[in-house]
Amino acid sequence: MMWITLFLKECKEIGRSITYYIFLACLSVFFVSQMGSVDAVSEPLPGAESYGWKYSEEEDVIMYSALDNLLFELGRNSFVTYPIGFYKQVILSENEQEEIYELLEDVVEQSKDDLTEAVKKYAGSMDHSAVESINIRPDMTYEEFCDVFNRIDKILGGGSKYSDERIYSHAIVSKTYEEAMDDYRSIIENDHVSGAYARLFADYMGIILAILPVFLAVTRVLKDRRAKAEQVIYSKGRSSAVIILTRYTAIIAMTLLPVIILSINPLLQTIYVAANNGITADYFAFIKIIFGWVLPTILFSVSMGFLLTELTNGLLAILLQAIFWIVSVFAANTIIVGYVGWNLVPRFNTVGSYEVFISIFNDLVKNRIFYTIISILMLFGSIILYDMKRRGRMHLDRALSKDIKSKS
Amino acid sequence: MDMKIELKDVSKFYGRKQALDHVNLEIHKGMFGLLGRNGAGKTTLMKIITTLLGPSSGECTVCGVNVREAVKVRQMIGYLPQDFSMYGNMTAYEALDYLGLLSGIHKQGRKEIIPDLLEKVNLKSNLRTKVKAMSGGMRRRLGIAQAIMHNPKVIIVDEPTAGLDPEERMRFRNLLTEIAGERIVILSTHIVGDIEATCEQIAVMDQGRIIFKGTVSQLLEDAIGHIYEIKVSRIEVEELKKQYEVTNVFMQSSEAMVRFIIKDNDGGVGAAKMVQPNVEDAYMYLMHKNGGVK
Repeated sequence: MMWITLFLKECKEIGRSITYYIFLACLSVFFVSQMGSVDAVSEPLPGAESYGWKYSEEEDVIMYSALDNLLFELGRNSFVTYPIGFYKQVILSENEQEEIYELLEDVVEQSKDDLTEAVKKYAGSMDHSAVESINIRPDMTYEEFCDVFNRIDKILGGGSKYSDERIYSHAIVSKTYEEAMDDYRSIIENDHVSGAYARLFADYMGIILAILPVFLAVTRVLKDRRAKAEQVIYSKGRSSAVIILTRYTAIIAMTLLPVIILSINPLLQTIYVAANNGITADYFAFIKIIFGWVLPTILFSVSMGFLLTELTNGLLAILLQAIFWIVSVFAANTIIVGYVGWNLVPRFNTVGSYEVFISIFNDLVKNRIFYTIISILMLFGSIILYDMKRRGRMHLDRALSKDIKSKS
Repeated sequence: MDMKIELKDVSKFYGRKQALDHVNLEIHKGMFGLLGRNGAGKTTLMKIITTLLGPSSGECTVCGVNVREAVKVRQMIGYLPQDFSMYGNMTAYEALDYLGLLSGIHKQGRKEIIPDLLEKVNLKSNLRTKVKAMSGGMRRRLGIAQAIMHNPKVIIVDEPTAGLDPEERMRFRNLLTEIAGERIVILSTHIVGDIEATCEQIAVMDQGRIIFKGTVSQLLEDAIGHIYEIKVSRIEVEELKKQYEVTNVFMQSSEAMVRFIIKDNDGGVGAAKMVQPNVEDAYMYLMHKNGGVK
């Protein structure tokens, strides 16, 4: 009971801090600007002008699309890359361009000179017909093609869309009526509408909550010292575990609270859209995804804040978490639907694609369990560090030592 | 239960710097004064007793419990650190409520105790005053309220009157005397007046060592025959300071009444009269005897 009272007092303290209001503002702005509103889901009608787009899985389409884009960028000598997640324009030297032409000579039927001439003509006129005659050699396999394009990616310094990991992203094709119908059925039957939007919600919340909670954690840990309340709190009878756990859980609760409140809006919209399609939405779709998907991200961010701030008494946690966040968010680069791996921020920036979700589900579960375990370990580490500080086995010694030197 | 604090051969090092040098001390019920200049080791000693620092060697027990059993010791101790404060946006009531909770006091208990405590420390009308709006004296009084809140056997107050105006200082000393009762109260200070007004038993520290332990009367007795007073012209004061350790100079128009220390081996004192030492003189004499006053 006293634990709950302490927890509620910690929540109240967080609720009164300026850092928390800034957190709420950032979270709300991000949600409103990114999430948008739930579109009406309706059965596609035959004969429509467009049914949306998708990445083609056909190797020929991928190869021709990639080649087409490469010739365009080669003609302008301006290549788009994301070497560490950030946009970078690459301009190649004459020799490097020559190297690419030589590599392409193995890929296409035309000679290097013909290819060079066609590309220059294309760049000068912007007329696509200039390169329409360029054909990929009939005996070229997809694997060989990818191998050549990987080498081109290396010449570009890495992070381009020509690597075998991202080459598929060139092949954007229109969906057929049947495919659109399959998507519609999946959203209705598998996701009950709400599931599809809950994943999009988790994607956006995952991005912002991989960084914001660390500020709350660092502020809380430093608060005692800033308020000159550190020594008196150290001297109190409550165990270090209770003190840290109540503070930790209070931050988690105060972080989750606005996330849950924000999820009510898209949930109600999906309930309405589902009803319009004659089905019942999954009322718990958002809450399940918040606790299963978003919570481990929050836990990690807060644990990182606690551990490093207890260790250093400074703002290092914010710096390291910011670096970790940038790497995590931009690691996905162009794969923003179904990028999981061991990334702190799993990406799923689409509505629907249930089959992709099912295919990454096991990886996602492993990923989330991994970050939860790491977070718990860091939390235990924070308790141990706090207890050591309470007994003067860290920092305090050094601080006092400095104090003594300054006085003597 | 053994109502005493016992330090046996306690030493403390910060790296190579020795802050406490084989301290042996017994502190019994009542007000106990720990006197010494800044950096003498008082805060280190206090922190060892309050479990906020571990001794490098030696043993320290509080009412029979070794300080290594930190959780047990913390329940017996109320601590007012040198620069006590709390979260600025908390009111006096909220600060005590929060700290009471950390001391394990139940809701009903806190509800009953807090108004009484605030009355005791003369902050009843400041129940809703935020900590950030409090003066230094009010914060110290709030600090003493939190220290006695869980009815501890031992109260430790570190430099409680530093920076307070004379009225607040007087009020605080009286408050300490009131709360002492059946407890052990340790008052650490470099202000001799605090000790003189409140403590019977004292210890004086210098460079990590206890250089005196006993009663205030014993401290005074040691200085008898060593404190002299002389009336000189203002210009002679500097000359006198070069020869003797001056404890006080009282200016009277063109003349000055100077109190100074004479050690056993000092020469004649001319027209100076031997006077009864006060605690400040006795403290200065002790420090002078043990290596000179800095």
